[in-house]
Amino acid sequence: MLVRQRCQIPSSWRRGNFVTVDRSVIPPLRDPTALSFPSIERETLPNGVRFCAINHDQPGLVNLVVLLRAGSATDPSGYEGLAGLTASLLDEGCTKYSTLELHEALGNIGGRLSRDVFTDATVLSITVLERHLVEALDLLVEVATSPRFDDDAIRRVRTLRLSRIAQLRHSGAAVADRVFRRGVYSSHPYGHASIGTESGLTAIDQDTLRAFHAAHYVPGCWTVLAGGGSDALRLSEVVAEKIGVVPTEPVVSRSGVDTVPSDPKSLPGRLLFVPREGAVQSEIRVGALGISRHVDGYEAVRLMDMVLGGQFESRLNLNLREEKGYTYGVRSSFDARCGRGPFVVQTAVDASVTAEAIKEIIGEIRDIRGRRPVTDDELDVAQSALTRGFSRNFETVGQVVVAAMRLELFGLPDDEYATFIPRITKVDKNAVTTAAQRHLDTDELLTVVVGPPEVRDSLCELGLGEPLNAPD
Amino acid sequence: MLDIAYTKVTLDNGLDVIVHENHGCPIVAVNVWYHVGSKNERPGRTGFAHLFEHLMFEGSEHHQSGYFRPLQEAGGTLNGSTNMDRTNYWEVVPRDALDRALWMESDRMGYLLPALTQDKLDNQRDVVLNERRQTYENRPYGFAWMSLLAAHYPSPHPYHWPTIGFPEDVRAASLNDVHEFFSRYYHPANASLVIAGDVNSNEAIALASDHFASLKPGPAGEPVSASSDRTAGIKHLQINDRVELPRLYLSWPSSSLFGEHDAELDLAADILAGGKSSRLYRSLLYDREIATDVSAYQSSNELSGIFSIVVTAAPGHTLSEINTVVIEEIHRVQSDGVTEEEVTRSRNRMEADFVWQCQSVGGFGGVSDQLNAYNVFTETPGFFEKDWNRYKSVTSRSICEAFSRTLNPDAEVALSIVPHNAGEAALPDSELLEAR
Repeated sequence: MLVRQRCQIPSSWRRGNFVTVDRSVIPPLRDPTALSFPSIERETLPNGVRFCAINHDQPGLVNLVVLLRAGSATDPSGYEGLAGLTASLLDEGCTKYSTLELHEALGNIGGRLSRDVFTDATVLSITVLERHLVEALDLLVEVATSPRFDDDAIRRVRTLRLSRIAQLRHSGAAVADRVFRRGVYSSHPYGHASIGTESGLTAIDQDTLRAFHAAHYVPGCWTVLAGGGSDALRLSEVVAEKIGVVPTEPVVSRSGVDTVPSDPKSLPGRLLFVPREGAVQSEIRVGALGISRHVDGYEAVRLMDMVLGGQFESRLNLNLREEKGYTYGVRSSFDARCGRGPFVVQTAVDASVTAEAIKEIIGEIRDIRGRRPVTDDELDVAQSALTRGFSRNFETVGQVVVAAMRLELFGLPDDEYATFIPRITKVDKNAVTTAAQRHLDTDELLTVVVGPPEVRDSLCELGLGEPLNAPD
Repeated sequence: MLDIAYTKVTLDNGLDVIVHENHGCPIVAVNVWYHVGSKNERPGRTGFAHLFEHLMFEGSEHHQSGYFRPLQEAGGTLNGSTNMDRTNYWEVVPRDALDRALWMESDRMGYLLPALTQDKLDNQRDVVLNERRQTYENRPYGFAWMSLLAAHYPSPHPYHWPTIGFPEDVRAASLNDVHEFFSRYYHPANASLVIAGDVNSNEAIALASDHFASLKPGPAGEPVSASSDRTAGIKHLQINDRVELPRLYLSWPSSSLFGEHDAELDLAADILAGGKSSRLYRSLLYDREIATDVSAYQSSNELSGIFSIVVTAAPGHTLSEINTVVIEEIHRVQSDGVTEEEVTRSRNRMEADFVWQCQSVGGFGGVSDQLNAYNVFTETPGFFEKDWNRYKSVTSRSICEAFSRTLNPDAEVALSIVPHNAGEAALPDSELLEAR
């Protein structure tokens, strides 16, 4: 039986017995619920693997993760897409299984193997029903340690990725993202997406893949995380035993491990325009170099971003969507990475209001830096949203394992989550305005527009200089 | 094993209240379904149910400004969605803010209209038109699904139009339409409320009664029926779009939600196109390398469903080549069947997905949403076990029957979406559609 269910009869309820609520006032808020993040047991296994067992009760499911500290920022120059292609070839055959056998084995345990390549990390993950834990572990180790990298598979998967890149050229949103990324980072390791570039993918061969795999997938570099199930102790024992005996080569070079890309050069503000014939909307990106996760005053930046565009009821969304109806939605974000990630405001607007929308976005960025600083009320709501809503982030085993993984990836202390609420609560208005002044330099804003050719002229009047053609 | 115990009562005004306790995390989900979707609209006013959903976030009589702020401030997250059959709304809040969430939901269920102004309607109409542009008009292959619906369900069938609506209809919506729609569909007797999470059932039901029991019931809903037949014959359609690669959509009329063969077709879709060991992936991407992706779906709704197979061609290959291989694979299943191992693998994936979804008490597809789906469509919130039993009883033989019955070459709607300069990649003799 998969589900146990019963319909209970409420003992105290009587039909028609109720007290109509007072509608004159919204029920007040109470003190936020204290959060106890699940305990994490850490150990270094005999082969050097760092292992974290997260004690989160989740009957039914277990989640296993291998964190590798090499992502798309580790791609050597000229081989953009190498980390991504390596990860995507893991399920195309390994020593023990052909592609087909591997996927049949995954199907037999109802497992889905995911591989996410971020700028700073590659994350292999499998979530399965508890009863399939041992098979899932075996498969995870197989794919991570012994991919075949057959020439035929390389050619086939590379071709698929090249097709994907070609297809993305027809998506206004994808073009805007690519041009923005390139515009902010140029040739910096954060300047390309994990899928890579056409020339990078074409340059990769079996030797480059094998070398990348040998350097960055060597078990001595792994951090393994496990959580879920109904018996945390057993989970921890089984995983430690299996993972601890995976043979490893000595970790020779830790390049890409613990190395943070140096800051890219800041560039002066400018506007890049990509014409898209017949587009009914303009995709807009406005932003600049943002922050690293280790920035001083991280909490103040989070709060400032919430007020600016990090939630539905934010200055940007209220202005562009709820007041003017220019867009289905607009948001801002700081992607805090090991190095300085991007700050970006992104939206898609009715093409006829492209210039007006950009004017409003830049106006809101300027305003929050001092002309109209964050108010007491705005700060209260943002703090309340973050602190009271904090426990929502730790419901499922997947959420909890990712939270623990972030501690590992960024080298944060174990009490990071326990101290989150007081750290957010003590930020004051001045700190938020200072954060805006420090991290939103309006002279360095890059604006990207992907829209119909006829909007180009209206962009000249924004005071952002002549719209430049986007470099490819 | 999942434990989905629940309590259900129906208030005097007809509102179903269902409570499920889960004390794993100090949060609670509130989920409200209204049994109204785009199939309740009429031609000329399409897109209205969805536009109305937007207006539900613009404040109600006792809180006239935006719906988000009081819940955001409480640490909540919230959203809503509309499809052909139903409209749902949910919030997930810390357990201490349950009363606030119920206050907000009940106020908009009972008192939306006094807060509604022409300005709010005009603003959300613009927002929705932008949603349509962003999600469909300005996106590669964006017109595919609405074109398939229109072809499968000739007007005035209530599934003929897309939920987002036609732009001229959205523009025509008036305050009067809003008032009528609200009175007819937005009341306790056409709604179902689920509270799930870190709560005590008795307390939650009492709290729900205090907030909702005084709201007036409206007219009982008339079930919508198919007002015209589905397309029965073969249709080949073509759209020229701003895309890089041609894509083929093969589709057939299929079972309704929980109807005969619905579960078989879910598993059949996985056997055909779920993952790299699936039949079509192997054949199209692995052995022949003539496609770049393949997927298959059984999309079942209250009145009926559509089974579809979607394949994007690899550069240099036509949709006729793709079509030949897909049809060949379909014939192979129809003549040789599928193996028990294939059925087992697909069912195992389904089981893991099911348990995965039930991890969250809130949000789209979480336990609260699922309890409401079962309650609204089967009147049994605890349909979980029965639902799962449908998949357990599928055999290779019943899949074969479903294949033969559904994937019928004489009832096929095929849509080719091709680049503007590559019309020859489409299936031959396709009728050219204006994308709209």
